[in-house]
Amino acid sequence: MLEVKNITKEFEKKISQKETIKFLADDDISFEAKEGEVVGILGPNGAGKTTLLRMIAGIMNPTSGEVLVDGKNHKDNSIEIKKDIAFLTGNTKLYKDISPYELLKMCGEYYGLSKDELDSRIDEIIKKFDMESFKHQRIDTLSTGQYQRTSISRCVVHDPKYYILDEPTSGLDVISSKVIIDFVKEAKANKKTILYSTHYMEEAENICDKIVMINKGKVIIIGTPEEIRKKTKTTNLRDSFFALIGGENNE
Amino acid sequence: MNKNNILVTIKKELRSMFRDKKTLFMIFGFPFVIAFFIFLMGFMEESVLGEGGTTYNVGFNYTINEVEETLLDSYPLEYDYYKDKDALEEAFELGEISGYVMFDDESKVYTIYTDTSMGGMNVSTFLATYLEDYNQYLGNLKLTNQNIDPLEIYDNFTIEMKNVSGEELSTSGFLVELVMSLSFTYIIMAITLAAVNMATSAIAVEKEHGTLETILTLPITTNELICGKYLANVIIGGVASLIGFALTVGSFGIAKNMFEIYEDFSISFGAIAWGIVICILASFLIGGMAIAITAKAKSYKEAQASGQILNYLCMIPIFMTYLDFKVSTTYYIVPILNYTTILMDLYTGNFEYINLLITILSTVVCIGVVLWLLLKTFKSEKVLFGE
Repeated sequence: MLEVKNITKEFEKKISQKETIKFLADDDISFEAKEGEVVGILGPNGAGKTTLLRMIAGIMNPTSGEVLVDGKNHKDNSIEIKKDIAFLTGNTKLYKDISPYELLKMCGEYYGLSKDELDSRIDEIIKKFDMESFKHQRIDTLSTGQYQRTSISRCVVHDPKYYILDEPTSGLDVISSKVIIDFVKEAKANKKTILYSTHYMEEAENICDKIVMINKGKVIIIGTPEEIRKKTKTTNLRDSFFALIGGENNE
Repeated sequence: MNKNNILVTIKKELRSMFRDKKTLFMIFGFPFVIAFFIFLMGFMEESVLGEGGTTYNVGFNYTINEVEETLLDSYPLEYDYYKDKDALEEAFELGEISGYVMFDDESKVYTIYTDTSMGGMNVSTFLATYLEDYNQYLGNLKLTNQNIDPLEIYDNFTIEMKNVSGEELSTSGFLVELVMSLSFTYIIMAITLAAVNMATSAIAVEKEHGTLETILTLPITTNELICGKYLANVIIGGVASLIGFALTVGSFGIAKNMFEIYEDFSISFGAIAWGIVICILASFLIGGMAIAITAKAKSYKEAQASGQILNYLCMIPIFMTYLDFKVSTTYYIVPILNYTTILMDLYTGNFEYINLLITILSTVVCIGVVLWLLLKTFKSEKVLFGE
C-alpha cells in the first residue's frame, strides 16, 4: 500500500532581484492507494500535482509529512522504494543518442538486474510493446508513438509494483494516448497500484477507481468518481471540479 | 555508495561522449594542433634566421662590386642587377624579387624597398645590415688610407650576452620558452575543453532535455550520480591531457633533432613520469571544477559560457611568459596556473622538488574542496530541478 501522510512542500520564489517569497506547492496532503487501485490526481496546471508525485517517487523531499510505501519511508529506504516504483512524467525525457535497447539495458543495470535476468526481461518487453523494428534505432529518430512505447518500457523494465504516471497523455494524439490508456488498464488488471495525474477529467473518469482533486496545493476532495459526482450534484468530474472551486481564480 | 550505479553512470557518460563529435575532436584532434604548432614554430624560427635553407631574391639598380659581393654572400640573399626603377618594380610585382635597393649617386642615399610580409621584413633586415657592413668597410678603408689601424679606433671593448645562469644567451631562447608555455598550456586546455564540454552535457543538457529527472527516478543517489559523472569527466580530461602530453613531449623530442632552437629541451624518465602525474592530477581537479561551475546552468549555452572561465585561467601562464613574469615558490599553490609552469620547469631544467610538492599538495586539497562542494551542490533541489 502507498500512503501519503500530511505532505507539504514549500518553495522559495524569486519575484525580483532582491525579493523572494515563500509559497506552498503542496499543503498538508494525505491519501492512500491500495493494491490494484488506480488513483487519479486531478487538478489544473500549477495545482501542485507534479511536485506531489515527485515527492511520492522520492526524487524530491517534502518540507514536512511523509510517504510510506509498503510501510517504508523514503528517508531510510529511498533506494529500496525506488526499485518498486515506475515514474513516468512529461518531464522524464529519454536520451536521444542511444537506442531503446541500450536505454532498457542501462535502466536494468541501475535496477541491479543480473545479465540473464535483464536479457530475458528486455526480450519480453520488446515483444510486449512491439519494439522489435526500432529497438536499435536512435531515440531521436523515433515517431511519437514509438517514443511513447519506449518511455513506458523503460519504466517497467524492473517489473515495479507501483506506477506513478504524471500527465502521461498530455500533448499526445489519440493513437499515442491509447497506448498509455491500454498500458494502465493492463497494469490495473495485473494488480499494480497506479497514481495517475491528469488535467483531462474525462480520462480520469474512465480509468480511475479513486480521485484526489487538488487545487492550489490543497486537496479539495477525495472519493470515487461516483461519490464526487454525488457530493457535488454534478454529472461529470469537470463540473464537479468547478462546483468545488466555486468562483476561485486559478491564475 | 553503490559501485554498480557509479560504473553504469560512467559507462553512460562515456558512451554519450563517444557519440558527440565535438568532444571527440577536443580529445583526439586538439592535441595534434599542439604537435603541428611545435614544428611550425621551429620551421618559422629557422626561416626568420635563414638557417632553414630559405633564400630571398633581391634586386639592385647598380652593379655590385667585389667587396659588396663578399659581404652579400654572408646573407641568405640571391641578387641581380636591374637597369632602372621600373624594371625593379615589375620584378617585385611579378614576385621575382622580395625587395630591392635603389642607390642615388647624387645624394648618396640607398633606399630599400620591400613590403610588410614576413619575407619582406627579413629582406629589409638583411639588406640594412649588409649596407651597414659596407658603410663600415668604407670607413675602415679611409682610416687605413690614413695609416690608422681601424681596430685601434673601434676595438675598445667586447660585448658578451649571457643569461643569469652564466650561459650564452640565445636569441631564440625567448621564442622556445613561449612555444613551450603555449604547448603545455594547450595540454591543460585540452582538459578544460573536454571537461567543460562533458560537464555541460552531463548536467545542463540533461536538465535542458529532461533526462536528469529520468535518472533521478532510478534507484541511484545523487552522490552516486555525481560521482559517476565526475569520474567520467576525469577519464575524459585525463585521456585528453595524456594524448596531448605524449604528442607534445614526442614532438619536442623529434623537433629537438630537426631544429636548433629546441636543442635545450631535456627529456628524462623522471620528467615524463612527473608530467603524467601532473596531467592526471589536473584532470581530477579540472573535471570536478567543470561540473561545479556548470552545475547551476539551466541550458547548454549558459553552461558553456560559465565554463569558459576555466579556459581563460589556463591561458594566464602564456601571458606571464610573454611578460617575462618571474614566479616564486608560493605561486605553485595556485591550481591550474601552476600546472603549465611545473611542466615547463620539468623540461627546461628549472625543476625543484619543493615546487612539485606544493603543486601536488595544493591540487589534492583543491580536489577535496571541489568534491565536497559538488556533493553539497547536488543536494539542492534548485540545482537538480532548476526550480
